[in-house]
Amino acid sequence: MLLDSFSEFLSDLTLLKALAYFWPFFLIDMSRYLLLDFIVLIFYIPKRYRKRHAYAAARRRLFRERPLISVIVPGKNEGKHLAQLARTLTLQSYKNIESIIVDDGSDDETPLICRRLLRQGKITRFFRNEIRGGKASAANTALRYVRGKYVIHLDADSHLSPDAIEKVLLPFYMDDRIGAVGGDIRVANVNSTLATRFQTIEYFKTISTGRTVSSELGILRIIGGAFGAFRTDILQRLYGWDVGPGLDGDITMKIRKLGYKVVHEPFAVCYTNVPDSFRKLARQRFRWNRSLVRFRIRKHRDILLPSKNFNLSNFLASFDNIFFNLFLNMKWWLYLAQLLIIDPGHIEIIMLINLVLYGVANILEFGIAVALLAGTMYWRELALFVYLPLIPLYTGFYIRSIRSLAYLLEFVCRVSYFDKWNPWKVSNVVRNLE
Amino acid sequence: MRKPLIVSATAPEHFPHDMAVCSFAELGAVDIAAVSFLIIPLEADWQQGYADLQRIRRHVDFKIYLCPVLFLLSKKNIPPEILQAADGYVFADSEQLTKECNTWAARLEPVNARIEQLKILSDAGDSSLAFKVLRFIETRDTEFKPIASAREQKGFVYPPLLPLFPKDDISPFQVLDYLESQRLLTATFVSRSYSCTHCDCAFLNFFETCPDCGSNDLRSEELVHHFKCAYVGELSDFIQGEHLVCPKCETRLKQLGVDHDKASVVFHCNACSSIFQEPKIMTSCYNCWRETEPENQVSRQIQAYSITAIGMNAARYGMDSLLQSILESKLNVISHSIFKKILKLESERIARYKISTSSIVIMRLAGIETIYEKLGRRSSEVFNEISKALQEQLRSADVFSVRDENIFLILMPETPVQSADLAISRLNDRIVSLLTTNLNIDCTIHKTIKAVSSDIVLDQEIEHLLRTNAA
Repeated sequence: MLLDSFSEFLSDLTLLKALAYFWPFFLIDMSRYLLLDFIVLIFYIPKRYRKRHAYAAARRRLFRERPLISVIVPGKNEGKHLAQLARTLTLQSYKNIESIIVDDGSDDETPLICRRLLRQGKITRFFRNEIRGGKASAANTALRYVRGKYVIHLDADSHLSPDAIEKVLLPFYMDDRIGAVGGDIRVANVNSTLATRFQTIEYFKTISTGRTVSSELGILRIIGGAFGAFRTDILQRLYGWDVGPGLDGDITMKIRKLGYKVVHEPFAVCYTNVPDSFRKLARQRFRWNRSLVRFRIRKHRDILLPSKNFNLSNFLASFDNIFFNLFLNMKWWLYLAQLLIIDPGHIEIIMLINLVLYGVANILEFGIAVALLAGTMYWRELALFVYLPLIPLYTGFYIRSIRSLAYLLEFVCRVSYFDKWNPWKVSNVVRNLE
Repeated sequence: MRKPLIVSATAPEHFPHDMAVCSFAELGAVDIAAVSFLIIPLEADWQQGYADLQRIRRHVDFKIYLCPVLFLLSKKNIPPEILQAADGYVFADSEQLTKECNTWAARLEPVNARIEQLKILSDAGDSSLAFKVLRFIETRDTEFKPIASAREQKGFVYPPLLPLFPKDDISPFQVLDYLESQRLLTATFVSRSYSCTHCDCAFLNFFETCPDCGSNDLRSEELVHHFKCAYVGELSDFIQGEHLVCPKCETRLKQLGVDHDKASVVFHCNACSSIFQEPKIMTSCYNCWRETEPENQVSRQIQAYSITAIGMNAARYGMDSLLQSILESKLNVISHSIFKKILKLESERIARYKISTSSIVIMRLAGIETIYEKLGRRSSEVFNEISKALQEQLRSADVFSVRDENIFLILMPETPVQSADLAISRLNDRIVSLLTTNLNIDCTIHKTIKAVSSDIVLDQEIEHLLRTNAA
């Protein structure tokens, strides 16, 4: 019965009808993500190969100069991850590192673990703020005492591949106008749960491929907090991070506003532990998505407006984010309404075809990521291709619903100012100011 | 009716004329049972009076060393730990001295009554310091609380007990610890103090040092967190004239806790420029000036002590030694009376059959008392070692008993004197080596080994051994 309807629907489908029924895929998602990624990487991969000598020269310059690098790790109750992080720091191919861990008022065994690591010489310095001030204040505590030429910000639940620091520094030695470099963030706990498997695929798509493409187009809008390298002088000029959540996107925009380039380095790999349940993931994404409204639309809206400091790439970076993530997120609700009004009889078939289209798109995007990162991917990551058909359900329904709710609540209720992620006293002050 | 007795070489200036006076040398001849308390004049130079008190308290006759003592004061500014060393004090210029003395006599009557109940345990008097302390505490029937004293190197002192201690190297703390470990005293927590691991001095200077270079030339800075912009910096970063202004957002800070807080403190080392939050704490001793980490100093619990029911009993009838109790738990120790019966049976058996020889060994560990005086609670470890040595040297057929604190009796059946001597020599070597080599404690083992015969009178043999070695 369904099969008959399906073949009947397909036989009636003309190009115009196909566009009318599946415009979100063909006009927006396929063109913005799949096609653009494909086209950019077609140029990027050979360009990267051609620039191999420039990378080698940058490496020589880096090792000749051998600047001190300050790795800062702010966090609260993250003690259990720190030993592995400290170990991967000691295994780095680039050795002139000082590691500074800032404990933002942990109430577990984190201080004991940090003191032990300090005694063992596995970290250089340990600061503890007895009164929790939030992640930005912890990062700024570390920034106050860094001595290195570059600062690398790491999340405490992350760890690095052995050449990650070397790789993330190379762009600074290739272009003096680069102010910050984002490392590639991949999932450490790949096979923990279905949620972590979906996120692994998502990270390849949005971070590894997505940020590489954005970086190539000059519209990279975020240096992830999990692994980002910054010129110390720029961070000190900005007096560090502002109150979050979303402080990594915020500081990236501030660096861009100063006129510096920000780039993504897909081969500087950092592994981070992602939420292992859909409930925890929802909380994380809810926080992330609210920051789009708070920072891009409220705090940095000047980027979008004509002024003497107007910069096209900054405008596009912000516009791309707002348009595709915020406005086009709403397109789905319009699309659903359209289907219900125009052709409710074929809604099952249309959704099924959408799933197939997005499934194919995901397979192609995963293929693009493999083509880009093949040498740095593990078998356990490649083996996730079997989950690709399910990704449209994950991104199309789960992630999209969280995103929509986050935008709505932030617009209407400014919920990010009540987020427990920051201490109450900090949220209270910021809420009254912004 | 007991009367006060003034102990002084010369009669003090102000005192009731009906009071008897005697010198310390004459004290032994006085009928102490008729004395309610002794009065020691404490003149401007209180050292002499305090020395007299020490001589009384160090006497071996319990009736003398336990006798209540009052100071007769002619001046008021006597250090409290000296004043509290006696049972009380009266003022020489008091018009009602006689009345005061009568009040004291009544007040001290229970002490004298308790002294009367005590038994003479040895003709030679009470020689064990721990036992003397126990008896002293029992007769006073009060809680002995330490007081902090800048005069005493150990920082805390038990004033009434201090005159009992003849030498500085034996600490009241160790003796009290030992008595508590024997459950003769009960302790309540008063305080905790650190003392130098090298010289036991309680006067320590605690100071912060740089964990990198060890310098104590440090500067500390408070870290300020400005809520609005998340800037964190040292307090000096914010100071602009009389105000605190955030260097990041140039906002004037208003009120601590409302728009900013002080997140933590950082230290800067002026010697090596190192920055850290947790300085290394060190101590230096005011006596020997050695620098040591606090965790390596001796942490001592300062306690107040009072006597237990077992302690009261032990004070009256004698105190088993710790060694004895350990031996009893590890070896098959039999009572002295049963030992005597077995010895009698054995001597009769040998006399009847005349085919074998058994030996009787009487051993005395001279100096064993200093073990617990020196080691306090840890003496049980040494006593365990001694008991292990005994356990290994004795055979299952040997009969073992303990008399008093340090006399051991061993009946070795079917053992000639030479073999017994050989076994005891090995035991002797092991114990002496343990104490001398490891602990630097001089311990001599006096022994008598004889073949068991009907002529042997055990108590006479013990007496002979003690007398010979006392001489």
